[in-house]
This record gives sequence, structure tokens and C-alpha cells, in this order.
Amino acid sequence: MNAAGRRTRMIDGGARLLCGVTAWLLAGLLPLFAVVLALRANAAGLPWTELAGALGASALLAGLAVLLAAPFGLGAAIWLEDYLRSARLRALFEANLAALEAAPPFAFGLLVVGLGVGAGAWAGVLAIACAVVVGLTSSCRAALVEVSLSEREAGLALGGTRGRIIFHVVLPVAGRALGAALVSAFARGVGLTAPLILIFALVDAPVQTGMPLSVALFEGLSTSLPGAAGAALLLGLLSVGLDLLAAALWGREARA
Amino acid sequence: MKGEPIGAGRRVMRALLASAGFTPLLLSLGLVSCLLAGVVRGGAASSASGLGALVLGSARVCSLAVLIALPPALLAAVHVNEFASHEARRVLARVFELSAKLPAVVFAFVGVQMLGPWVDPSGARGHLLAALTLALMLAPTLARGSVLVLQGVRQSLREGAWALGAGRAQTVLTLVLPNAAPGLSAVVLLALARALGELVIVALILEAPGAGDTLPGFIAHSARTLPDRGGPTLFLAAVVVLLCTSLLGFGARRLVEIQRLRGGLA
Repeated sequence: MNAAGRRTRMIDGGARLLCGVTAWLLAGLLPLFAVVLALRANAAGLPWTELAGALGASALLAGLAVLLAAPFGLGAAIWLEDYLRSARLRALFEANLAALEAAPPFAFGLLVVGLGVGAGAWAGVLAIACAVVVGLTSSCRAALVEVSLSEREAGLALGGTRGRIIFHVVLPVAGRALGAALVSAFARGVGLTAPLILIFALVDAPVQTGMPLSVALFEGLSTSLPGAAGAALLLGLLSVGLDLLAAALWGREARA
Repeated sequence: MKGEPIGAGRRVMRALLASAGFTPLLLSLGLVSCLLAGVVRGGAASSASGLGALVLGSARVCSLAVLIALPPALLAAVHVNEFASHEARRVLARVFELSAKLPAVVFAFVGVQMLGPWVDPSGARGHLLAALTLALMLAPTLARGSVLVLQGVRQSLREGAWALGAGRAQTVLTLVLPNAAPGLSAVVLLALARALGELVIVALILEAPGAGDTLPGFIAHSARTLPDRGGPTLFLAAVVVLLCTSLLGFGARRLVEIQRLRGGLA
């Protein structure tokens, strides 16, 4: 090997080492977080009853929000993919979706405050539903796009109308991917904190028992650190678990 | 008259789907009008003073966070795409994806717990602690986005460079990264938008005066403590943040289109 070749191999080796160490260090952040949170949570006894209640409240709040957002998200996705023909209108809707996807979550809390819904559970559900509906629309669109054109064409060849093809061919074939989109939206809903905190703060409502995990984490910071660390650990594990479930659902769909 | 009910049913379904389709547009309009109504209620002119400093503070913290997070994220993405084995690539990509989707409040809590003892949150250091916490949150997001963009660069470009005797590092520096530049810029813009949005929760947890010098920090601070909470300045700050994130979102979308035209994205 000549000198230039040796130099190239040395540079490649150095680059591989630098990039590899950085990548694994970055990947190590997730387990590091889990260890930090577990150590902090173990510093004293965890308030298991409160955490279980908070977990239930989070699941209920996010579940209701996803139930509320799902018909709109799925309907918008079907309309954009299968019904909207005007290119100009499509460009407008896509630009709007891009802007909304980048919108900060706290803005939806301010929207609910502005609408005068109050600070009850339904205000939280509405804020979370508004925050997840755009992501849900995009995920549902991605799920619908994955259905091959030949399946639609076969339905058309058999004399099916557009509506029949959507409900009898497209939606059943995209079922698992749509399920993954719903699970992802639920995971996002569980983790949303800023809109809920802003609603509680601006409406001047006391944060009561039975608050969701994210709010319990936030409130626990000023009262009990183990409670806050436990809530953060639970929230992190829940998020990872739900995302893995969504990935598993989506993966099976892609292979089908 | 067998066709009539079917036609009516189709029309109803079409109308329902169209109304669902208009939801995001209505949501945008509702969001903007609600925030503007909040501004107008209290008289915006008197409350706009000091907003410039908050915008500058936000730009400083968010840019610092992206500057800190970008180099390791880019190096990690290069490793995943150019050097890692198939198995390592699969594991790393999945871990980055899971980390990027962790709730912001968990990052903020862990950031404050891990970095708090070393960085004093008072004064200018408040900016540094907020930026470091945000960088912790943005690094996996940037890595995941960069992996997707680099994956889209045509393999034939790399193979052409290798055939001409270029090494892997040289190929990455002279071909892959320049070709992926628009896509990578879109990832950075989206990360900036996320930083601006999530800074609220970081500021809420930090409760540091330094983080209060930013628009989201001001929103967090004034929502909890100031006497005019819910007042026009808070809504004005929210309008400015929304405007900035929307512009960043538009910019990112445009850059992704440019990347697609180059054939660099699937």
C-alpha cells in the first residue's frame, strides 16, 4: 500500500472512531436518564398510590383526547389523500399542516384558556386533542399512502365506488399502521405538560389530586423529589413502551 | 329510485370528510384569532416594549442549544449511515428515535437534576443551563433527522467516489454532506422550532431568572407569578413564538422540497 493509501486508511479509522464513540455516547443518554431517575426515585420511598393515580389520570386524559382527535385526524387524512383534487388547495393545507406541526404545545393551552373552557379535565382533554390532531393527521396520511395502488385499482376494477374502496379495502389494509398512529398520538398526549400547566396557572385553579403524571412531575418538584423522579421515570418508561408498540405495529404493516 | 339514497349517502360522507379535512385550517385560524384577541383585549401598543430583548434572548438560548447539540448529532448520524454495521445501525437508529420521542418534561427534569449542580442557574448562567438542557433534548432529534436525510443521499454518489479512490471520510465530507445540506438545514430549522416551543417547560422547571429573558421563559414566568398573568404581553409573546415556529416550519418544508428535487430524499 502506498503512502496516500495508508493516509486515507488512517483518516477513515480516525473518523470511524470519533463518529462511533459519539454515536454510542448519544445512544447512552436514554439508559443514563433511566439510571439517574431510578437513583433519585430510590432516595426515599416512592409514593406508589399517588403515582398509580397519576398514571390512571394521564391515561384517561390522553385516551379521551385521542378519541376526540381520531375522527378528525383520520377524516382529514382520507380527504387529503383520496378526495382533494386541487393542487393549490393541497399546497395550502400542507403548508398549514407544516406550520401547525411546528407550533409549540403551550399555544394549545392558551387557545383553551382563550375559549373560556375553564380548568377542568375537559379543558385538558381539549388542549391535548388540539395538540395531537395534526400529528395524527400526518401519521394517518403516511399509513394510507402505504396501501399499494394495485389494491385500490383492483377495487375500482370490481366496480367499487371511492367510498367503498376506502372503507372496504384501504382502511382494513392500513389497519395496523393506523393503530400505530393512534398509539403514537396517545404517547404524545401522555407526555404533554406545558398546555396543562398553563391552563392551571392562567385559570388560577388549584392542582388537585388525580392530576396527570406530567403535572405530578412538575408539581412534585417543589414538594417531594422522589415523587417527581418517580413520575419522570414512569413517564419515560411509558413513552418508550408505547413507541415500541407503535413501531411493532407499523413494522408488521410494512412487511405485510 | 335506487340511486338517490346512495348519492345522498356519498354526499354526506364527502361533506363529513371535507369538514374533517378543514380541521387543521380551522385550528390554525382559531389559534391565531384567540391569541390576537388576547393581545387586543389589553391594548397591545403599551405591552410591546421589551419584546425585542425577549426575542434576542430566545434566539441566543435556542441557537446556543442547537450549536451544542448539532456536532455530536451529525457525527452520530454519519456513524449510523457510513460506518456502522447493519445490526448497530438498526439499534442506534431505534434508540435515537425513542430518545427523540421522550416527553420534554422528562428531559427538562433530568437536565436540571444532572446539570444543575454544575451550572449556577442565576444570571447569564441561567441561559447556559437552559441551553444545555435543551441541547440534551435536541441531540437525539437532530441525530434522528440527520440519519433520515443522509440515508436519502444516493448510494451511487458514494460508489462513484470510492471507485475514484476516495476514502469514506473524504466521501462524507466532499459528497454526502454537501448533497444533504438542504435536508440537514431543514432538520436544524425544525430543531430550532422545537427548542422555542419546549423552552417553556424548561423555564417552568428551572424557574431561573436567566431563562425568563426569553419569550417562552417570559410566558412561563408571567403565567405563574406576574400580576398581569393572562395579560396582553403574555399573549403577544405567544403570538411572536407562534409566528417564529410557523416561519421555521415553512422554511424547513421548503428545504425538504429542495432536497427532494435533488433526489436526496425518498
